[in-house]
Amino acid sequence: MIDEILNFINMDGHSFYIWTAYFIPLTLIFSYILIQRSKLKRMKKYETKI
Amino acid sequence: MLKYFHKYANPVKFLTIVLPVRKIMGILSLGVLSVGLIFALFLSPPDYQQKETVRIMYIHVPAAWMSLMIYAFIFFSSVVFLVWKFPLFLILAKESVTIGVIFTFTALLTGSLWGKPTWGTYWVWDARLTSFLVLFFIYLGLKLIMESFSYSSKGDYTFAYLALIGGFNLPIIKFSVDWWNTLHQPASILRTGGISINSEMLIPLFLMAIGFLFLFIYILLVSVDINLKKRKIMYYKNKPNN
Amino acid sequence: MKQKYKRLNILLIFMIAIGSTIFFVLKALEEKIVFFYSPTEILNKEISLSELIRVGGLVVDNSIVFDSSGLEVLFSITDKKNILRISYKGILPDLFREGQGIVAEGSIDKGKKVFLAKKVLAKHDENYMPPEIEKMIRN
Repeated sequence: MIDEILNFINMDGHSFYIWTAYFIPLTLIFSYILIQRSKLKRMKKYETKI
Repeated sequence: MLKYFHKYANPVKFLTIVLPVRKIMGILSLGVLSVGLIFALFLSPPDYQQKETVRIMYIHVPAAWMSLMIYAFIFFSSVVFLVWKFPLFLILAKESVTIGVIFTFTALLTGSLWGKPTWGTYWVWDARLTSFLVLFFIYLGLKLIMESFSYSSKGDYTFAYLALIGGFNLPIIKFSVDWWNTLHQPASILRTGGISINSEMLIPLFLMAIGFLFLFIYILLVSVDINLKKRKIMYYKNKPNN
Repeated sequence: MKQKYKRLNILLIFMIAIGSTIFFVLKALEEKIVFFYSPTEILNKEISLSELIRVGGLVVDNSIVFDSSGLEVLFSITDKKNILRISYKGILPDLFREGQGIVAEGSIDKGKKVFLAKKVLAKHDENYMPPEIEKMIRN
């Protein structure tokens, strides 16, 4: 079981390339979504004040 | 000044129609992307030449498609804005830029991470890679114009015209691999002679592409909402008898 | 109504002007944009000895020879019309093998007999498939 997981993470020796290629873009995209969502919440609050 | 903001009354109507779509897109994109990631990382087979490295393609190719598609969307929205003067289309175009920057960066980064183990280099200056880097700079240029002239109609026209000029880069990117010889491989999906990717590998490719598309629609609608609310707040703040 | 068509016309003229400019610039730069030459183009071209250029082609079957130290390798590439011999000292990419498309960067020696490569890159093709399917196709 642990061997299988380690094997999967190792990706045939190309783990650096594959995991970086998934990790950085997905982090970027989802942090942009979170930023925009919190901005929208702030705007909604302002809007109700008016 | 006030008249300028008033023109945006109509887009508010657009938002009420589009709000339920936004929610659906948000949920669908999360669902499709999670299934897509499972296929991309676990269930799809390795390639006969690239072995596991082929998995980078499932994020690289959809991100590259999105970069081109979002730019085409900005291009057509800018045309509609310049000819018919619909302000909503300018907002749609402007709010797409940041997402475009992120997807273009993704395509460049993942491409170079794929290039090192496959080609033996992170970067070469061939026609496909160079024209795609130009797309990234065009996106950054649009972003810069947006940030430096906020709420000025001069800035709006500069933005729309730059978006038009940048549109010429799209066919260059698409056909670069056919017009000149490049290190980058030619098209595998949209080509004469049919798709040259095995069907098991097409599943994660299309799932990720559809997931990204839904995600783009979701973020775009959130961003447009923010933009309109900001305008509305500024309009009321500037109103003299308030 | 009239205004709208006027704007559309101006836009069309603008687009045609820029489009044709880009077309002619790309046409003029064609030589520079091309990433590599084929062996045939190398034989028919005027190339100075010191010029750094790239050639691309398929590695010819049974042409790969390593020298005794195992560091230097000699192989041939072809565009199915002409063959060019390449000598290279260094690490080859994983995908390097017979029949594979490669691009070599370096310079040509006198008489255009051997290309002295400084860098060898593997060129990937547009086919993607699992190993089992590839085996089936090969047999």
